[in-house]
Amino acid sequence: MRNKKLVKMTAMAATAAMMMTLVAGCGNSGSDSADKKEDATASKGGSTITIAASAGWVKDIDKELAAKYEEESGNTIEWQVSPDDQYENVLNSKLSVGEGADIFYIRSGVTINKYQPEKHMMDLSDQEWVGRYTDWAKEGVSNDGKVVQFQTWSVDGWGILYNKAIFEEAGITEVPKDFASFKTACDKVLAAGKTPIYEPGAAQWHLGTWLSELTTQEEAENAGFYDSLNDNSEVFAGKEGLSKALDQMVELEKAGYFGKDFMANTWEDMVAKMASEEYAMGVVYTTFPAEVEAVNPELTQESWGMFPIPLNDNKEFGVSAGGIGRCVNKDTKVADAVMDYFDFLSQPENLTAYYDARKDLGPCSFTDIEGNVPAAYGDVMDNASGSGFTAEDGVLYWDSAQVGNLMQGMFLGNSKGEDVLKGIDDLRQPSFGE
Amino acid sequence: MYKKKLYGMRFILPAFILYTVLYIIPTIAGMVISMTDWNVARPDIKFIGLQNFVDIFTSRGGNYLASIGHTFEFTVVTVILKTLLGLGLALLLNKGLKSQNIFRTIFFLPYALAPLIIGITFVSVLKPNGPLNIILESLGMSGLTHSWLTESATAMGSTMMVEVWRMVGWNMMILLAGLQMIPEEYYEAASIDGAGAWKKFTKITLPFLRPSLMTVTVLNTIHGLRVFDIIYSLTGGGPGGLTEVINTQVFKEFGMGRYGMANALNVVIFLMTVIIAVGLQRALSGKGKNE
Amino acid sequence: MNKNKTYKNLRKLLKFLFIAVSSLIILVPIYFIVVNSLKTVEESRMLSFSLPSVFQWGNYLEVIKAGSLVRAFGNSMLMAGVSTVIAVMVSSMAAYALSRRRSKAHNTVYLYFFMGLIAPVNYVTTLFTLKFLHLQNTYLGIILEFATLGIPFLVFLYYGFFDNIPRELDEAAVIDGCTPFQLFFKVIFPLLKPATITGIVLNFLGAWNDFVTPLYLLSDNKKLGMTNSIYNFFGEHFNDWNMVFADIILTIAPILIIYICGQKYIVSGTAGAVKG
Repeated sequence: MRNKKLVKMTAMAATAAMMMTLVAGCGNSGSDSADKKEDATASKGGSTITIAASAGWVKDIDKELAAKYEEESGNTIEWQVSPDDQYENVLNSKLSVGEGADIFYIRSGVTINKYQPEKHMMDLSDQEWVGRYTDWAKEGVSNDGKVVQFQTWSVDGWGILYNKAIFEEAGITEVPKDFASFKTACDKVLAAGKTPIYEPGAAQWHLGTWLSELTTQEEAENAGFYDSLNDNSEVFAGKEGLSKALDQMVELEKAGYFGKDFMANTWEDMVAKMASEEYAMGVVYTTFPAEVEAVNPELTQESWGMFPIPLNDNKEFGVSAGGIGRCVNKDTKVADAVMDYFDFLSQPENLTAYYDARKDLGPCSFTDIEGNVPAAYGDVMDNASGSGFTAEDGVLYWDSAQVGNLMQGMFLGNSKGEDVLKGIDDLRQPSFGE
Repeated sequence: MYKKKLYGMRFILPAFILYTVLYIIPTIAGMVISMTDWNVARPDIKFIGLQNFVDIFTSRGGNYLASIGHTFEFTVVTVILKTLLGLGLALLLNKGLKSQNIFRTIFFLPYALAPLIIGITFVSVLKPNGPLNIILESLGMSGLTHSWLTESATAMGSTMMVEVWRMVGWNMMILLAGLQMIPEEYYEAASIDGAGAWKKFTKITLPFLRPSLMTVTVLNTIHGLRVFDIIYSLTGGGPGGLTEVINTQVFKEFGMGRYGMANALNVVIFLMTVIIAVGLQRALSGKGKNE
Repeated sequence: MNKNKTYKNLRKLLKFLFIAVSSLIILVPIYFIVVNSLKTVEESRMLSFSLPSVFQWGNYLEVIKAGSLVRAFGNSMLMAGVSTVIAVMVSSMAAYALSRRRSKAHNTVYLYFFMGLIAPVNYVTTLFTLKFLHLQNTYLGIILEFATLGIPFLVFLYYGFFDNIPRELDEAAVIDGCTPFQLFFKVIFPLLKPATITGIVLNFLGAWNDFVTPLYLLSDNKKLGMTNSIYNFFGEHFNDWNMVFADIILTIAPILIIYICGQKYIVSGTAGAVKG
């Protein structure tokens, strides 16, 4: 009896083991990702490069250039594009399991620290194209003295874009310089029968972008603010300038400057709304007019001006650390092919094609070509007293969407500016560990 | 003895192995992680015992208690509405209508749609200038129009209604199955005794339907506590965290790379669900019964 | 008597009207999707109920091309189809043995499966497990994962259903010289038809509609199915509601067909499970 049981148990275990090997075996034969990583080391064709990115960062031109590269080199590009709102989660989980793609896109600047650069990112400092980086690009893609990203993006920031014709029609002669003159301008727009500001309140990250711009002022007045936040010796709570700015933002909404039901406004609608000429202003980046022009050709670059967000009388223009860059996974088995691909993309001819197609980008990361220089950029810089990194690019563990979520509570009347600041501290704190 | 031979382990093993390897082991691993401070931004992982759970119940690092509250609110309201409306539909469509099959299909249809698709669709339906408000206005009820998903008064309610819309047909289907097992003779006998419709319902239908009602209530509760897709695709937890539930918070913690906390929240929902589901099952099936 | 009959008919009519009106709550949003999928971009942005001025059937072709939907459709059929077959096979077998034996140990195993209806799915650790088995980013891996996710509900569904199948059948078959597997596959399994069809429909829907699991377990975009394609498509064409709605219709059409085919069995199929 007992023996029988033993036999049975062994049989069971054997069945289980067989099933597992069968499963694993089939998996291997069916899997090309596992196999190809081992055999593909040569750069001369035949390698497959996997690229992970958020959907919004990959445009048609990226696919076209990749196709051209495939043709020239014989290598294959495999895209692993995730929806924007899922990318961060997917990237985190793949990296922590050791399944990261060969190339992965992340934001330049302080964000690099969120992904353990020394563990996951290859040092690219000795690449030929590094010498051709502009200063701002090189600064944005460097971490701990090493270049860790290949970046073809541009430095840009978010300011208040205004429609010159509507301003004129409303009788606004001077660009608002402080909160009081900004409110006056808004009142005049209202009186002229237009909505002063299109604010996509459904996009929480867009609300967060306002505050991310305004922290630039705090850093400018109080140098070292970001550094102290990043070594966890400083907090947002108690920063009166910031809480005042937030409360003033609610004031704008209460005064009806955002129109009705602004929290149902989507970012996706913003181009169309600005093109409709029903809204006088909106918080956007400097290349935005090009996108509007594509919808409404009557509105050209010249139709718009831009100034820094004047809450709390701010005059600083917050800029990014260069946008989005590509990191190379330290575990990649096809490093040579990846470098070959970057060399290809960094050729002036391909950079030109890229920036020509990306009207949403400003100046080029490389000195070879100019890229696009939007009129609004010069305009906002003229109107600003200075510029610095936004919170998103200078403050570790800042998450604009989460900040925007807190800000929505403020517009619903559930909290004040100071509560939002405390909430941001609460969100960041656990990430520093005990 | 013959039972062992006829219904041996060979039948159970394939499902058991698959389920254990691909479901239970990853889940248990997750529970172990819930007792660490694993954060993808940092290389070191420390065992911190129950600290994450303490943080959850003191809302340190996020408004966790509010999310737990919203989850309960969502669960209670949707369980009641889904079960009652499902029962109503099941009674109406049980027999007597030639077209009942068509209607059953129609009401069950939303269950076949991906929550993501339902979300995308209802985001547009519930916009301030969307179809729902258009209908209300054309019926002369423009006073009732709202920006449904972004006003504090209506956001949570709207997500609940969409969930009820999605699941009511599924409730109807299970309850219909229960109704069809009630022998017709009971009703005939009751009619001969002169019992009215209400009496038949309370004395025959409800007692017979008890197991089905129990099943839908328990499953509705499990679905309610685990809600994610619908809320995520409709409001993303907004506006201002008013529709934040535990699972949307889990998603955000994962996004921030705080795996320890994300898993701890998962454990909290799991334990809550087990306790409530077992409690419900006990309460509804009457005490003393084994199963 | 006659009066009674008219009264009855009137009640029937009222009932019909009531149900028909209620069903509009389901049908109107669906009509809304269909009608807007056939408009031009500009028209569809109005989000209105009116019929399109010109029916844009071309939207569908454009979506199929832009979203590489032919490949996505094949992927979905493969993943949802095969995983459903596996899930139904292993679950019916397990539920069969569990429900016939009902010893204490077996009841515990049943509860163990039931836990799967409640336990959270953890994608990070699942991905890790699949990697350990060398199944990450493969069709086989996602198929097994989809099958696994279906097991708890299917075991639950079948478990109750077996009470409807008399044990005498088993005994008779054994006397006729059936082996245990012959008994199950030749005698028992055909009797499970309502439960099996219900299980197939529900499991297929679950796998077809699941977009999160593939997001984590499959990297290569070329392996993604229909529901993920619509997510990506929505990301790129957020404002082209006509295209988004056309994509939605194309995604739900196949499952509707499967659902309608299996529909008449679903009531009797769930009946069994509910009793348990």
